[in-house]
Amino acid sequence: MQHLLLNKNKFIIAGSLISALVLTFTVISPALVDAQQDMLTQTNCANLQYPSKEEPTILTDTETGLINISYTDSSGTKKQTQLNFKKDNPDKCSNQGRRILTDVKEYQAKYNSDMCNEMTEIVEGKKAMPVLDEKRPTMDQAKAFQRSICAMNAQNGK
Amino acid sequence: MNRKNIWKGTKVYLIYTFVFSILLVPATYAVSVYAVTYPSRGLFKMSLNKTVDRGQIGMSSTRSYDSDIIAAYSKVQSSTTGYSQMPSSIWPNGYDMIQNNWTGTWNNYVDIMFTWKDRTGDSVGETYSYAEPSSWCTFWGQSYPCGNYSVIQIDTTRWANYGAGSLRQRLIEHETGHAVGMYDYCSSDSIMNNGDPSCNNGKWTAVMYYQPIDRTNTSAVYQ
Repeated sequence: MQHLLLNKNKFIIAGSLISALVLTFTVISPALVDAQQDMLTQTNCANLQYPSKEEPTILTDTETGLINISYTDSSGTKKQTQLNFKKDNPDKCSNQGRRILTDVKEYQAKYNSDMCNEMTEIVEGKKAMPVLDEKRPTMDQAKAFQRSICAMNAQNGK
Repeated sequence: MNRKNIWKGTKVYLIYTFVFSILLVPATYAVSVYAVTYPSRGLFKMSLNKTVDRGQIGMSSTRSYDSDIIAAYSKVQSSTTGYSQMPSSIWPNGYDMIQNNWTGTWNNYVDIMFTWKDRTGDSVGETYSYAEPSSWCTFWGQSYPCGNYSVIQIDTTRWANYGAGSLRQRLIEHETGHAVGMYDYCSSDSIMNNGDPSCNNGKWTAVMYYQPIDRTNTSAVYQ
Protein backbone atom coordinates (compact mmCIF):
# COMPACT_ATOMS: atom_id res chain seq x y z
CA MET A 1 0.00 0.00 0.00
CA GLN A 2 2.83 2.33 0.94
CA HIS A 3 4.51 1.48 -2.33
CA LEU A 4 1.39 2.31 -4.27
CA LEU A 5 1.02 5.67 -2.49
CA LEU A 6 4.63 6.56 -3.29
CA ASN A 7 4.07 5.78 -6.95
CA LYS A 8 0.90 7.84 -6.90
CA ASN A 9 2.80 10.85 -5.58
CA LYS A 10 5.45 10.46 -8.26
CA PHE A 11 2.71 10.25 -10.84
CA ILE A 12 1.11 13.44 -9.54
CA ILE A 13 4.41 15.31 -9.52
CA ALA A 14 5.42 14.13 -12.99
CA GLY A 15 1.96 14.90 -14.39
CA SER A 16 2.03 18.36 -12.88
CA LEU A 17 5.48 19.03 -14.24
CA ILE A 18 4.49 18.07 -17.77
CA SER A 19 1.24 20.05 -17.61
CA ALA A 20 3.04 23.10 -16.27
CA LEU A 21 5.63 22.92 -19.05
CA VAL A 22 2.94 22.61 -21.70
CA LEU A 23 0.93 25.50 -20.25
CA THR A 24 4.00 27.70 -19.88
CA PHE A 25 5.30 27.26 -23.40
CA THR A 26 1.97 27.19 -25.23
CA VAL A 27 -0.04 29.83 -23.38
CA ILE A 28 2.06 31.96 -21.05
CA SER A 29 5.14 32.46 -23.24
CA PRO A 30 3.17 33.67 -26.30
CA ALA A 31 1.11 35.87 -23.97
CA LEU A 32 4.30 37.46 -22.65
CA VAL A 33 5.46 38.21 -26.17
CA ASP A 34 2.05 39.70 -26.96
CA ALA A 35 2.24 41.79 -23.81
CA GLN A 36 5.65 43.05 -24.89
CA GLN A 37 4.23 43.99 -28.29
CA ASP A 38 1.33 45.78 -26.63
CA MET A 39 3.84 48.06 -24.93
CA LEU A 40 4.82 49.35 -28.34
CA THR A 41 2.28 52.12 -28.71
CA GLN A 42 1.45 53.00 -32.25
CA THR A 43 2.01 56.55 -33.44
CA ASN A 44 1.60 57.99 -36.88
CA CYS A 45 3.40 60.30 -39.24
CA ALA A 46 1.66 63.44 -38.03
CA ASN A 47 2.62 63.05 -34.39
CA LEU A 48 5.86 61.11 -34.67
CA GLN A 49 7.93 62.74 -31.96
CA TYR A 50 10.88 61.33 -30.10
CA PRO A 51 13.52 62.85 -27.80
CA SER A 52 16.35 64.65 -29.55
CA LYS A 53 18.96 62.33 -28.05
CA GLU A 54 17.06 59.25 -29.21
CA GLU A 55 18.39 57.33 -32.17
CA PRO A 56 15.47 55.37 -33.56
CA THR A 57 15.90 52.13 -35.46
CA ILE A 58 14.78 52.74 -39.03
CA LEU A 59 14.40 49.76 -41.36
CA THR A 60 12.92 50.20 -44.81
CA ASP A 61 11.47 47.55 -47.07
CA THR A 62 12.61 48.78 -50.46
CA GLU A 63 9.85 47.06 -52.41
CA THR A 64 6.77 47.82 -50.36
CA GLY A 65 8.06 51.22 -49.22
CA LEU A 66 7.30 50.43 -45.58
CA ILE A 67 9.54 52.15 -43.04
CA ASN A 68 9.52 50.52 -39.60
CA ILE A 69 10.58 52.97 -36.92
CA SER A 70 11.23 51.92 -33.32
CA TYR A 71 12.21 54.34 -30.59
CA THR A 72 11.89 55.09 -26.89
CA ASP A 73 10.03 58.23 -25.84
CA SER A 74 11.06 60.58 -23.05
CA SER A 75 9.09 58.57 -20.49
CA GLY A 76 11.00 55.42 -21.39
CA THR A 77 8.11 53.83 -23.26
CA LYS A 78 9.03 51.83 -26.33
CA LYS A 79 7.12 52.88 -29.39
CA GLN A 80 7.00 51.92 -32.99
CA THR A 81 5.36 53.25 -36.07
CA GLN A 82 5.24 52.60 -39.77
CA LEU A 83 5.55 55.11 -42.56
CA ASN A 84 5.52 54.41 -46.28
CA PHE A 85 7.80 56.40 -48.52
CA LYS A 86 5.74 55.46 -51.54
CA LYS A 87 2.43 56.57 -50.07
CA ASP A 88 2.87 59.05 -47.23
CA ASN A 89 2.95 62.76 -47.95
CA PRO A 90 5.90 64.36 -46.08
CA ASP A 91 3.95 67.63 -45.78
CA LYS A 92 1.49 65.90 -43.47
CA CYS A 93 4.19 64.62 -41.13
CA SER A 94 5.75 66.06 -38.00
CA ASN A 95 9.26 67.50 -38.36
CA GLN A 96 10.93 64.25 -37.42
CA GLY A 97 8.56 62.18 -39.52
CA ARG A 98 9.12 64.46 -42.49
CA ARG A 99 12.89 64.24 -42.20
CA ILE A 100 12.83 60.45 -42.01
CA LEU A 101 10.43 60.18 -44.94
CA THR A 102 12.36 62.53 -47.23
CA ASP A 103 15.78 61.13 -46.32
CA VAL A 104 14.67 57.54 -46.77
CA LYS A 105 13.28 58.39 -50.17
CA GLU A 106 16.36 60.34 -51.23
CA TYR A 107 18.81 57.62 -50.21
CA GLN A 108 16.68 54.93 -51.81
CA ALA A 109 16.63 56.86 -55.09
CA LYS A 110 20.41 57.26 -54.99
CA TYR A 111 20.91 53.55 -54.41
CA ASN A 112 18.59 52.63 -57.28
CA SER A 113 20.28 55.09 -59.62
CA ASP A 114 23.83 54.00 -58.77
CA MET A 115 23.01 50.30 -58.93
CA CYS A 116 21.15 50.73 -62.22
CA ASN A 117 24.27 52.36 -63.68
CA GLU A 118 26.53 49.72 -62.18
CA MET A 119 24.49 46.80 -63.50
CA THR A 120 24.04 48.39 -66.93
CA GLU A 121 27.82 48.67 -67.27
CA ILE A 122 28.19 45.04 -66.22
CA VAL A 123 25.55 43.85 -68.67
CA GLU A 124 27.17 45.88 -71.46
CA GLY A 125 30.54 44.34 -70.66
CA LYS A 126 32.12 47.65 -69.63
CA LYS A 127 32.64 46.44 -66.11
CA ALA A 128 33.62 43.02 -64.74
CA MET A 129 31.07 40.75 -63.12
CA PRO A 130 31.40 41.10 -59.33
CA VAL A 131 32.69 38.21 -57.25
CA LEU A 132 31.88 37.69 -53.60
CA ASP A 133 33.12 34.79 -51.55
CA GLU A 134 34.08 32.97 -54.75
CA LYS A 135 30.54 33.35 -56.09
CA ARG A 136 30.26 34.87 -59.56
CA PRO A 137 26.70 35.47 -60.81
CA THR A 138 25.82 34.52 -64.38
CA MET A 139 25.10 37.09 -67.08
CA ASP A 140 21.43 36.04 -67.06
CA GLN A 141 21.27 36.77 -63.34
CA ALA A 142 22.95 40.12 -63.96
CA LYS A 143 20.46 41.02 -66.69
CA ALA A 144 17.51 40.12 -64.48
CA PHE A 145 18.82 42.29 -61.65
CA GLN A 146 19.63 45.12 -64.05
CA ARG A 147 16.07 45.10 -65.41
CA SER A 148 14.60 45.08 -61.93
CA ILE A 149 16.79 47.78 -60.36
CA CYS A 150 16.49 50.04 -63.41
CA ALA A 151 12.70 49.66 -63.30
CA MET A 152 12.82 50.69 -59.63
CA ASN A 153 15.04 53.60 -60.61
CA ALA A 154 12.53 54.69 -63.24
CA GLN A 155 9.91 54.83 -60.50
CA ASN A 156 12.03 57.19 -58.38
CA GLY A 157 10.69 60.38 -59.83
CA LYS A 158 7.06 59.29 -59.87
CA MET B 1 -8.17 10.13 -1.83
CA ASN B 2 -9.11 12.14 -4.17
CA ARG B 3 -9.80 15.59 -2.96
CA LYS B 4 -6.57 15.64 -0.99
CA ASN B 5 -4.50 14.34 -3.86
CA ILE B 6 -6.14 16.58 -6.40
CA TRP B 7 -5.37 19.61 -4.23
CA LYS B 8 -1.81 18.42 -3.79
CA GLY B 9 -1.39 17.93 -7.53
CA THR B 10 -2.90 21.32 -8.23
CA LYS B 11 -0.50 23.00 -5.81
CA VAL B 12 2.54 21.36 -7.41
CA TYR B 13 1.21 22.24 -10.83
CA LEU B 14 0.70 25.89 -9.93
CA ILE B 15 4.14 26.14 -8.37
CA TYR B 16 5.82 24.73 -11.48
CA THR B 17 3.84 27.02 -13.76
CA PHE B 18 4.72 30.06 -11.66
CA VAL B 19 8.42 29.21 -11.61
CA PHE B 20 8.61 28.58 -15.36
CA SER B 21 6.74 31.80 -16.08
CA ILE B 22 9.11 33.84 -13.93
CA LEU B 23 12.09 32.24 -15.66
CA LEU B 24 10.62 33.10 -19.04
CA VAL B 25 10.19 36.84 -18.42
CA PRO B 26 13.84 37.89 -18.75
CA ALA B 27 14.37 35.51 -21.64
CA THR B 28 11.41 36.94 -23.51
CA TYR B 29 12.70 40.47 -23.16
CA ALA B 30 16.37 39.70 -23.76
CA VAL B 31 15.74 38.09 -27.12
CA SER B 32 14.59 41.25 -28.87
CA VAL B 33 16.60 43.91 -27.11
CA TYR B 34 20.03 43.94 -28.70
CA ALA B 35 19.86 42.90 -32.31
CA VAL B 36 17.80 41.36 -35.07
CA THR B 37 19.25 38.26 -36.66
CA TYR B 38 20.30 37.90 -40.26
CA PRO B 39 18.70 37.75 -42.84
CA SER B 40 16.09 40.18 -41.48
CA ARG B 41 18.92 42.52 -40.56
CA GLY B 42 22.67 42.48 -41.01
CA LEU B 43 24.94 42.85 -43.99
CA PHE B 44 24.99 40.27 -46.76
CA LYS B 45 28.76 40.13 -47.00
CA MET B 46 29.07 39.77 -43.23
CA SER B 47 26.92 36.69 -43.46
CA LEU B 48 28.82 34.60 -45.98
CA ASN B 49 29.59 31.37 -44.30
CA LYS B 50 33.08 30.87 -45.64
CA THR B 51 36.17 31.93 -43.86
CA VAL B 52 37.71 33.64 -46.88
CA ASP B 53 35.36 36.58 -46.82
CA ARG B 54 33.19 36.42 -43.75
CA GLY B 55 33.10 39.72 -41.97
CA GLN B 56 33.90 41.93 -44.94
CA ILE B 57 32.22 45.29 -44.96
CA GLY B 58 32.55 47.61 -47.92
CA MET B 59 31.99 51.31 -47.33
CA SER B 60 31.78 54.49 -49.32
CA SER B 61 31.53 58.11 -48.29
CA THR B 62 30.05 61.20 -49.84
CA ARG B 63 33.10 63.08 -48.62
CA SER B 64 36.64 62.59 -49.79
CA TYR B 65 39.16 60.54 -47.81
CA ASP B 66 38.55 60.88 -44.08
CA SER B 67 41.28 59.97 -41.62
CA ASP B 68 38.79 59.58 -38.75
CA ILE B 69 36.82 56.94 -40.63
CA ILE B 70 40.07 55.11 -41.34
CA ALA B 71 41.17 55.36 -37.70
CA ALA B 72 37.74 54.25 -36.45
CA TYR B 73 37.75 51.24 -38.75
CA SER B 74 41.18 50.26 -37.57
CA LYS B 75 39.86 50.27 -33.99
CA VAL B 76 36.76 48.32 -35.05
CA GLN B 77 38.84 45.64 -36.71
CA SER B 78 41.38 45.30 -33.91
CA SER B 79 38.64 44.99 -31.29
CA THR B 80 36.68 42.35 -33.23
CA THR B 81 39.57 40.10 -34.23
CA GLY B 82 40.88 37.23 -32.14
CA TYR B 83 38.32 37.31 -29.32
CA SER B 84 36.38 34.37 -27.97
CA GLN B 85 33.02 36.00 -28.74
CA MET B 86 33.97 36.13 -32.43
CA PRO B 87 36.09 32.99 -32.94
CA SER B 88 38.76 33.20 -35.62
CA SER B 89 37.44 30.03 -37.24
CA ILE B 90 34.37 32.04 -38.24
CA TRP B 91 35.67 35.62 -38.10
CA PRO B 92 39.31 35.37 -39.20
CA ASN B 93 39.54 39.11 -39.71
CA GLY B 94 36.80 40.35 -37.36
CA TYR B 95 34.98 43.23 -38.99
CA ASP B 96 37.07 43.32 -42.14
CA MET B 97 36.47 46.95 -43.06
CA ILE B 98 37.18 47.81 -46.66
CA GLN B 99 37.15 51.36 -47.93
CA ASN B 100 35.63 50.63 -51.31
CA ASN B 101 35.49 54.17 -52.62
CA TRP B 102 35.26 57.77 -51.45
CA THR B 103 32.93 58.90 -54.20
CA GLY B 104 29.59 58.32 -52.50
CA THR B 105 28.61 55.77 -55.14
CA TRP B 106 26.88 52.46 -54.54
CA ASN B 107 28.15 49.33 -56.26
CA ASN B 108 28.07 45.59 -55.65
CA TYR B 109 30.75 45.80 -52.97
CA VAL B 110 29.43 48.69 -50.87
CA ASP B 111 27.40 47.88 -47.73
CA ILE B 112 27.54 51.18 -45.88
CA MET B 113 27.36 54.75 -47.18
CA PHE B 114 28.48 57.66 -45.00
CA THR B 115 26.60 60.91 -45.53
CA TRP B 116 26.46 64.29 -43.76
CA LYS B 117 23.39 66.47 -43.25
CA ASP B 118 21.99 69.11 -40.95
CA ARG B 119 20.50 67.13 -38.05
CA THR B 120 19.85 70.06 -35.73
CA GLY B 121 17.41 69.00 -33.02
CA ASP B 122 18.12 65.30 -33.43
CA SER B 123 20.87 62.87 -32.44
CA VAL B 124 24.31 63.48 -33.92
CA GLY B 125 24.14 60.28 -35.98
CA GLU B 126 21.48 58.04 -37.46
CA THR B 127 21.56 54.83 -39.45
CA TYR B 128 19.00 54.09 -42.15
CA SER B 129 18.82 50.41 -43.02
CA TYR B 130 17.22 49.10 -46.19
CA ALA B 131 16.28 45.52 -46.94
CA GLU B 132 18.17 44.38 -50.02
CA PRO B 133 15.67 44.06 -52.90
CA SER B 134 14.60 40.51 -53.75
CA SER B 135 16.18 40.85 -57.21
CA TRP B 136 19.55 41.51 -55.57
CA CYS B 137 19.15 38.38 -53.46
CA THR B 138 18.35 36.36 -56.60
CA PHE B 139 21.37 37.90 -58.35
CA TRP B 140 23.57 36.35 -55.69
CA GLY B 141 21.68 33.05 -55.63
CA GLN B 142 20.04 33.82 -52.29
CA SER B 143 16.41 33.85 -51.27
CA TYR B 144 14.71 36.98 -49.94
CA PRO B 145 15.31 38.41 -47.36
CA CYS B 146 19.11 38.50 -47.58
CA GLY B 147 20.13 41.29 -45.24
CA ASN B 148 20.31 45.03 -45.73
CA TYR B 149 22.44 47.93 -46.85
CA SER B 150 22.77 51.00 -44.67
CA VAL B 151 23.17 54.74 -44.93
CA ILE B 152 24.85 56.43 -41.97
CA GLN B 153 23.85 60.05 -41.61
CA ILE B 154 26.02 62.37 -39.52
CA ASP B 155 25.21 65.88 -38.37
CA THR B 156 27.43 68.28 -40.31
CA THR B 157 27.77 70.93 -37.60
CA ARG B 158 28.52 68.69 -34.66
CA TRP B 159 30.96 66.63 -36.74
CA ALA B 160 32.85 69.84 -37.48
CA ASN B 161 32.69 70.96 -33.86
CA TYR B 162 33.95 67.60 -32.62
CA GLY B 163 37.17 68.08 -34.56
CA ALA B 164 39.40 65.20 -35.56
CA GLY B 165 39.82 62.46 -32.99
CA SER B 166 37.98 60.31 -30.48
CA LEU B 167 34.47 61.78 -30.65
CA ARG B 168 34.24 61.33 -34.40
CA GLN B 169 35.75 57.87 -34.28
CA ARG B 170 33.44 56.76 -31.49
CA LEU B 171 30.47 57.94 -33.52
CA ILE B 172 31.63 56.01 -36.61
CA GLU B 173 32.11 52.85 -34.55
CA HIS B 174 28.67 53.19 -32.94
CA GLU B 175 26.82 53.80 -36.19
CA THR B 176 28.66 50.92 -37.82
CA GLY B 177 27.26 48.74 -35.04
CA HIS B 178 23.76 49.77 -36.08
CA ALA B 179 24.59 49.08 -39.72
CA VAL B 180 25.59 45.50 -38.94
CA GLY B 181 22.31 44.91 -37.09
CA MET B 182 22.70 45.99 -33.46
CA TYR B 183 20.45 48.28 -31.42
CA ASP B 184 21.46 50.77 -28.75
CA TYR B 185 21.50 49.15 -25.36
CA CYS B 186 22.13 49.89 -21.74
CA SER B 187 24.65 47.45 -20.40
CA SER B 188 28.17 47.21 -19.12
CA ASP B 189 30.88 49.04 -21.12
CA SER B 190 29.92 48.84 -24.77
CA ILE B 191 30.28 50.66 -28.04
CA MET B 192 26.49 50.44 -28.41
CA ASN B 193 25.85 52.18 -25.08
CA ASN B 194 22.90 54.49 -25.62
CA GLY B 195 24.75 57.44 -24.11
CA ASP B 196 22.11 58.12 -21.47
CA PRO B 197 23.73 59.36 -18.21
CA SER B 198 21.65 56.81 -16.33
CA CYS B 199 23.11 54.01 -18.41
CA ASN B 200 26.49 52.90 -17.11
CA ASN B 201 27.35 56.57 -16.53
CA GLY B 202 26.62 57.29 -20.18
CA LYS B 203 30.00 56.05 -21.31
CA TRP B 204 29.81 57.59 -24.73
CA THR B 205 33.40 58.75 -25.00
CA ALA B 206 35.08 56.50 -22.48
CA VAL B 207 34.78 53.36 -24.59
CA MET B 208 36.67 53.52 -27.87
CA TYR B 209 36.68 49.84 -28.84
CA TYR B 210 34.11 47.08 -29.28
CA GLN B 211 33.55 45.35 -25.96
CA PRO B 212 32.65 41.71 -25.15
CA ILE B 213 28.91 42.38 -25.24
CA ASP B 214 29.22 44.11 -28.63
CA ARG B 215 31.09 41.14 -30.04
CA THR B 216 28.57 38.72 -28.55
CA ASN B 217 25.70 40.60 -30.15
CA THR B 218 27.45 40.77 -33.50
CA SER B 219 27.93 37.03 -33.46
CA ALA B 220 24.28 36.61 -32.49
CA VAL B 221 23.15 38.55 -35.57
CA TYR B 222 25.04 36.27 -37.95
CA GLN B 223 24.56 32.84 -36.38
